[in-house]
Amino acid sequence: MKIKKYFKTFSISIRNALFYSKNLFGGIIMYTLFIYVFFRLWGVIYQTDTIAGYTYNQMIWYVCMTEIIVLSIGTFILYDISEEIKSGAIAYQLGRPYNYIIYVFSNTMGASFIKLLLYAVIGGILGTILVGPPPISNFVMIPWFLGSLILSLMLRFFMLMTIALTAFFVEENRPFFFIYSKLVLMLGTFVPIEFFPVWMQSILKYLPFSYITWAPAKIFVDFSLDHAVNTIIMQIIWAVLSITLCMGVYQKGVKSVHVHGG
Amino acid sequence: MYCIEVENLTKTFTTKIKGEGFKQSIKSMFKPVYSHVDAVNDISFTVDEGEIIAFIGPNGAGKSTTIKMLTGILHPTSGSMNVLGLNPSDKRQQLAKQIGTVFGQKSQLWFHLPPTDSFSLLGDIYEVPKNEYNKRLNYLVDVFDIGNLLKTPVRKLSLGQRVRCEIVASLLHQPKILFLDEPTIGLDVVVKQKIRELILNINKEYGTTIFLTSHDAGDIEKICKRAMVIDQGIIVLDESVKKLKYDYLRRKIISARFNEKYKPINFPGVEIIKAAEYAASMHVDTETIPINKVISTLSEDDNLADITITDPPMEEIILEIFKKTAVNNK
Repeated sequence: MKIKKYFKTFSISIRNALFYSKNLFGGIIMYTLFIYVFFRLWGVIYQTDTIAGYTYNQMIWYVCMTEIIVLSIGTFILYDISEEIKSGAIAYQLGRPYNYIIYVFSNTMGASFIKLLLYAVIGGILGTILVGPPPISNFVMIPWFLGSLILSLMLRFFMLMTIALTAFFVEENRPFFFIYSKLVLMLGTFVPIEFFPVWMQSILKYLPFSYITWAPAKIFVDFSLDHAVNTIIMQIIWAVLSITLCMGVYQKGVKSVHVHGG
Repeated sequence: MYCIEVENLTKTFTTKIKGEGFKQSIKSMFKPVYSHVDAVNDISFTVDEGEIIAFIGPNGAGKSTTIKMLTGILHPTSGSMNVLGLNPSDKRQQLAKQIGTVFGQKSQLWFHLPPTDSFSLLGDIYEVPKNEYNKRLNYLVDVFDIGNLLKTPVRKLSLGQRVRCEIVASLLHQPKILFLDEPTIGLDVVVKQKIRELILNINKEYGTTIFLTSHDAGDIEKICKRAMVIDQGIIVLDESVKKLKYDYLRRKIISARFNEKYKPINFPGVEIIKAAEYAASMHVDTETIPINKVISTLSEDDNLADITITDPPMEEIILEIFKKTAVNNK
C-alpha cells in the first residue's frame, strides 16, 4: 500500500512526459550531434590502435553510453526544485502524506525512463552505424551493467537533488551545480578516467563523480568481473552517502522553509 | 467539540536588513543586521467541528502563515496548536491524511493529463481504499458536475472548471477540515456563486469544517457564519458574520429616483455619494438619523419614483474595520 503511491507517481510521470514529444525530439537531435562531434574528434586523435586501453570502437560506444546517462536525468529537477523552494510553492507539496524526496525521485525517474529508452535506441543505432556493433564479449556483463546503470542514475539524482535543496539556505545555488556538472563532464563523460595520470586515477576512484558515467560505461565496453564488483561496491557506498546527505539537507531545510514567501 | 485549538501562537521571521547602495550591501555581508517581524503575534482561537469560518485580512496580515502552521508546514516560534487532537508540528504526515487544502493560485493537478489521473494518484497518496475511492469520486463528480471534464487534459480546462476539479482533488480522502486559500480568485460571478454552493453542500453533507481565507467579501457573506479578521499578525475581530454586519451595518445605502427635480437633502448623518438631476444615492448613518425620517423626507412631495435600500457591501465593512483598528493602534 505504502509503496504503491510511488509506483503510481512513476507511471503517471511517464505519461506526462509523453506530452513533451517535441522536447524528446529536440533531445534526439542534441544527442546525435554530440555523438557525431565525438566521432570526428576521436577519429582525429586515434593514430594508434588503443589509447589508455580503449580501442576506437570501444571509445565511441563509451561516449554513446555516458551521454545517455547525462542527458536522461537532465538538469530540469535542479531548476524545478530550486524554483519551488525559492517561490515558497514547496509548502503545498509538503502538506501531503508522502516522503517528499521519494516522491520527487519517482517523478523524476518516470520522466527520465522514457528518455533513457529513447536515447538507448538512438545510441544503439548511431554506434552501430558509426563503428559497428558494440564490443560485447561476454553476456555475463548485462546484469552487472544494468545494476551499475541503476546505481548511477540514483547517484546522479540524489547529488542533483542535494544541490537543488541547498536553495533552502543560499539564494543562488547554481555555482554548486556548475562545479558539479563540470566535474562529472571531465571525470568520466568526455574521457574515461584511465586517460588521467595514475596518481590522479587512484584519487578519482574514491570520489563520487566518475561513478555516474564512467562506471557503467566502462562495464559496458570493457567488462571484467573484478572491476565490476569493485565499481558496484563503490557505487553502493556513494549512493547511500548521497541519499543520507540529501535527506539530511532536506530535514534541515524544511525547518527553514519560511524564509521564502511566508 | 473543537477541532482546531490555537493558543498564544506566534511566528517570528528573521530577515537580513540591507541598506541602500553598494556600500551598505558590502557592509551587510560582513556585519549583517537582522530584523524580526512578527508575522503572527500571539493569537488564540478555537474552531468548532463543522463550522465554516472566514479568515480575513489584507495581504501580509498573516493569513497564509497561520494556515501553514495549522497544516504543519511551518513551525511556530511559540504557542501551542491542536488540530484534530494532533500537534501539526510533530504529526504533519498523520494530520495530512485528515485535512485537505486548496490554494487558489497553485494547481495540484498534472497539467498535461486529464483530472482522473491526478485523482487516482491522490487516492493512492492518501491511501484511500479502492472501493471507497470509487464511491467518493462518483459522489463528488456528481455534486461538482465534472463528469464531462474527467477525460480532458487539465491544460484545456477553463479556470472555473479547473477550480472545481482542484476542490474535488482535495476532498477525495474525505478530510475533516478543508483549508481553502482564496478559492474563488479570478473567477466570474456565476462560477463564484456555484463554487460557494458546492462548498456549503459539502459542509452540510459531511460536516466538513471549512477554514476559508479570501479577499472576496462575497465569499464570506455567502458562506461563512463566523469571521476572524487579522491584521499585522493580530486578530482584531472575531465575530459572527451576522453580528459583524449588524454592528457595521448601521450605515445603509439609499438610492432614489425622482419624477421631477428634487429638493436638496441636507441632514446630519446623510452623505450624498452620487447626485444627478433626477436621482441620488446616499449613505445614511442610522444612529444619527432614523431611516424612516430620510425616506419620509424623500417622499414628501409625491415626487419619489423608485427607492432602494441596501446594506453596504462586505468590502466596505472590512475596510471600516481596518480603518478602526488602524486608529486604535495609533
